[in-house]
Amino acid sequence: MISLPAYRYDGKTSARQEVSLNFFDSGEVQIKSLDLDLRYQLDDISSTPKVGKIRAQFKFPDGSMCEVNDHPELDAALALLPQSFQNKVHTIENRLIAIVGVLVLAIVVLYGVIQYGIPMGAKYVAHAIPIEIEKNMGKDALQIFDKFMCKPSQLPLKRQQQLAVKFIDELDSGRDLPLQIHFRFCEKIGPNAFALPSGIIVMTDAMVKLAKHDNELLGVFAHEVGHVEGRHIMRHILQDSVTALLLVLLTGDVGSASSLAAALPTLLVQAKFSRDFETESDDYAANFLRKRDISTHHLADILKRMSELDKSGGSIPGFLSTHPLTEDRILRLKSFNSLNKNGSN
Amino acid sequence: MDEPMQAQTQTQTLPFNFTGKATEYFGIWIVNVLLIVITLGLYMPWAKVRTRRYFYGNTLLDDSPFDFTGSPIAILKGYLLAIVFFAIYYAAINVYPLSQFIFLILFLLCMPWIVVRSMIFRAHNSVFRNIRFGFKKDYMGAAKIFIGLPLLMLPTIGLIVPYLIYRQKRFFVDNSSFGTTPFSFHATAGPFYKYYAIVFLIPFIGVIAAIAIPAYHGYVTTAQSSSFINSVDDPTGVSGIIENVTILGSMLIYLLMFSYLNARINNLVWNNIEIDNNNFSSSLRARDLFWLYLSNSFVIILSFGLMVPWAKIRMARYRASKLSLLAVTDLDGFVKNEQEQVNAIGEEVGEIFDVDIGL
Repeated sequence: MISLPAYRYDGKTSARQEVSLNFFDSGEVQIKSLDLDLRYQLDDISSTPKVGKIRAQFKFPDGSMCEVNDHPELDAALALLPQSFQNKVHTIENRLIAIVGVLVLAIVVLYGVIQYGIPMGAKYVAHAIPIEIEKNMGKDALQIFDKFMCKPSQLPLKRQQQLAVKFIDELDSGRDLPLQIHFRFCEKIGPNAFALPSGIIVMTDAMVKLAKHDNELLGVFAHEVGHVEGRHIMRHILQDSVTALLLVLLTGDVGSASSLAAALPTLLVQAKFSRDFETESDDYAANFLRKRDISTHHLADILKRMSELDKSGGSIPGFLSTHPLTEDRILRLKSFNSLNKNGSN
Repeated sequence: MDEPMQAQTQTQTLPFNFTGKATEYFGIWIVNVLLIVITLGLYMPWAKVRTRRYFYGNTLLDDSPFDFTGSPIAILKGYLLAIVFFAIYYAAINVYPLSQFIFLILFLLCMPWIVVRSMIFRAHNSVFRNIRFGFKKDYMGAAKIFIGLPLLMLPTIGLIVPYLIYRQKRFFVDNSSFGTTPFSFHATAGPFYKYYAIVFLIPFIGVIAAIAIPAYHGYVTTAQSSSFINSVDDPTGVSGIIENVTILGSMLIYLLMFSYLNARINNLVWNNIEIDNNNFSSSLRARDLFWLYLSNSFVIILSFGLMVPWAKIRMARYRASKLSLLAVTDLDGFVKNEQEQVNAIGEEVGEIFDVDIGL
């Protein structure tokens, strides 16, 4: 016989009685106190799954419940009743070795999900979504450029058209949504180019002026087309939101201050996603240039010139940066020249 | 006549007690994390129930724990329903962009129902001494508070917010019951205005930062574009340290405001809840909450998230330690006459308040 000290609540009032809960070998269960003697059959009784060291509960068919605090014989009594699979989970939760194993496994799985799972899923989903969806976003983004950062281009119209025709000719065949190329004079930005949603590409006047050869600009343009072609903006949005959601779910409750703690890891992961997209676009541009027998040195050269212009930007640590280190990008670009022209894609 | 009256005025303070342990909860948490990740989120309802049962079961009032009896399957159904709805919504707005407005209106109309149903689910599954809590199906009241009053936001340029919060709290408390005994709410809107005025007027910089930062952030995100290079002037790149410092500063101000409001409003609400002549006493302090949130955040970041369980346990312990029940009847009478019903609403309502303020 197993005898456990328990609190009994009859389920009709919140009254609490101290009782003794007795399990007989015959399969009979007794609730006993000075003024109480109730009998039940073991088959009619259920227990709630164990969680940590919260009190065990035995539930009876008449709606009453007995609560038992930690007790040497408690486990033996619980073993008489049907087990929830959650009790296996409970066993793992309480073994140091198991926890260490789970911890290592969780880190590996989480790393795999963030490094491979989410990017692959986002890629698949993004390519399934037609690019037309980005139309409004693209319009808005261009408006923001025009309102806050840029003025109309000061390049001669002829020069703009000549470049646009060259770019479009080379890169805009067979597209659902035609590429749009815009030149802008953006004092605050300096030499740079941007791919906005829906295939809008903005190139600053300073960028055009910095180039010593039109093939350099073609390379930059191809890099931006790489973002469009790879659906990087949609993928970025998908990846960022799923990652943020996942990390918030794992670290705390959405909406409370503890989600602040999820902010930094999220930023780090998002910066990494961004760097991966840049590398992908650089590869796209390099492959494009190689197919036209244009040396990737052109792209590497202008990249180098750009980085020399803003030496002050070197203070951002690599892991926080949205772009890979310029030296690494240049080395990678140059390495494409040694490849066979059709050898990679 | 005199004697019972005297007995009634004798108040007994019953503290809430939280007995959870960080090491123990760590095991539960890490197993949840793994199972959620490898089941692609399907385990979430079980994780949620286990977590909630751990926290409820370790919250004791007068040596009786709370319990959460929600079924993971029911929660899973709710999740799946939400996913299906979201997929339909997503597909529809892509095909017919204008259908967004229809969905918005539909969602608004469903709000009262969603709020009431989720409150009923939560209340009904919160148990203390084998007696369930309850929540009244007050859909009209919910419509007034979640559709009607928010419509006045624009005309009143937001001045209605403290009143709105007050009405929400009142709605949640007044419709709740323990067994058959209803809770009632005695606060007025005045103090809500006072605390909101203090939090928004004194740290005026905080407001500017709070408005400017999300706006700037939004601006960076909308300009979400892939630039060719990350330059200092590049607004989409990490425009470096300045941006980070501003973000850090505004986070601190936000945290300060959040802690202040959280502490004051929480105390205000709890100290005005009554059930069967029993009252609560809550004495959270803004500076304690600020320190807890700040240090928790740092520890979580430095531990790569592994100290999340410790942080949650620490917060639960603090909150419980500042809450007690002022029982009017003596302890024996309290137990026998279903007076014990008093407290459980705390945990549950508290959680909702937390979300409210966080939003």
